[in-house]
Amino acid sequence: MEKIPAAPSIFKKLMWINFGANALVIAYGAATLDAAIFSIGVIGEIVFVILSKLGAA
Amino acid sequence: MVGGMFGPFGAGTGFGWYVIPPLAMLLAVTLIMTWHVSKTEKWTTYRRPLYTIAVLAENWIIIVGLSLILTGPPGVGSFGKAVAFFTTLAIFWGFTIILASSKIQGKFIPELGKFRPDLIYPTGANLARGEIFTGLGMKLILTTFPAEIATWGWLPVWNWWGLTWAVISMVLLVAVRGMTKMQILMRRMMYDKYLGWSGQLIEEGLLWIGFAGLAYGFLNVFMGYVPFTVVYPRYWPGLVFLILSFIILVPVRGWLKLRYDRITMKFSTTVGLQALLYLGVVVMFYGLISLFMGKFFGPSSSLGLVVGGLVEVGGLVLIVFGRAKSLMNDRKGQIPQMLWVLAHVEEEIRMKVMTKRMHVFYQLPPERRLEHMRNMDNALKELPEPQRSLVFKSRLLALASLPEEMRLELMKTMDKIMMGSGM
Repeated sequence: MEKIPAAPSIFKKLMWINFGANALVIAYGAATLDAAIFSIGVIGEIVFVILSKLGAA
Repeated sequence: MVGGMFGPFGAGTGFGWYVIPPLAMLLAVTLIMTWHVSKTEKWTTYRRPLYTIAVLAENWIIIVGLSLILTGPPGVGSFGKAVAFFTTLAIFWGFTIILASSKIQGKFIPELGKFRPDLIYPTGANLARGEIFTGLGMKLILTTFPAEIATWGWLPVWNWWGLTWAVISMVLLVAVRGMTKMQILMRRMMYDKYLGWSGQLIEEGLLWIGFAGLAYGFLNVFMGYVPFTVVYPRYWPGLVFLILSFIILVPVRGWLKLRYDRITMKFSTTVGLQALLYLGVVVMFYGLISLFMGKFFGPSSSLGLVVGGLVEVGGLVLIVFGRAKSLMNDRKGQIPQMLWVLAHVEEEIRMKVMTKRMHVFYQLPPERRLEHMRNMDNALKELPEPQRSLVFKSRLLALASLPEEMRLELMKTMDKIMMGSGM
């Protein structure tokens, strides 16, 4: 059976910006020993990983 | 430094590099949804200008924040700050309500594959922004204390880390939930999975979690704190309202939704379900505000009642009217997408789904049957060959397999559609 094309390639590229933005939050949280900001970044990464998996499904 | 109700404002209450994470996330998400992806079709045919404008306007929330940050020190209000904030907020509301227009949805094109933010975003934006307006309205009604009126201290403060958390919650509430919801809908139809409460719990559970995350994020934004850093008074009776909102939004609303066919649901039923959703949001905010601010509040001042009341009505219109209208548009737009997916599965599954749809159509009153069968007919015309022929054939076979009485009734409707299109 022919497969339906997944999300366009731009989806993947721009998803990296999200990973980057969350990585920035994590790095800032770690550098300032701020557990709250660090956690926001980690949860952000998780949400965007789920989104990118759904988009590629 | 000016402090808030629970001590000095948190880091990120001001203007600095910390504006970048929420801005980068918002820009990335909105660009993904509007980017030109087709090699053959004109961009504006499948991403209509109104859609593109409304999606990119999600970034306007940054301007709303800047209107509070750049017009005076955090927590120090002024008439100018109030004008700047409420003007930018009103523009944000306008950008949202246009998403209820039927001109949002573009032409179906196969190259988009399963990537259809235009079918998820309008309802999601009305939902998320409607919640923000409702929450701000509630906060203004309940906490515009008379002592703060002369100093404009009742205006929201703004915190960018709060916004980062809110954007993440919005992605969960709109994108993750929306895509999951579409997958559940298709699996229900094609594979008889998630038919009962399992699908409903995922759908409504994600709604409640997303709502709670967004509400918490924006309460921190408005109060000027970094989420999870301030020890709030934690007035535990407030938790009762949070639990009540869960009951309204998950079991009650989920049970009601299970009773209706999604695609053919009436506008009035949709409005009713959105009104219940609005009630759930109001109850949730009342719970959160009591939990974080230390007591059960009543209206705090007449100014709060008037200004907050107006913002509250803005939220009500977005959730109840805007979202109901968007849902009606989306359901119609989903049909070619569903048929496209159906064209890529085994004949047996396609037949099964078509037979189920025929049963649903048969049970509708004649006028609505005509409307929905016509929608399917129009959707079929949007499919390219050979997929169109495949689905067309399955529809005929499904029709032929029905008991005579049903078949004749449905064929009568099909005749009407053919006569209508021939005129």
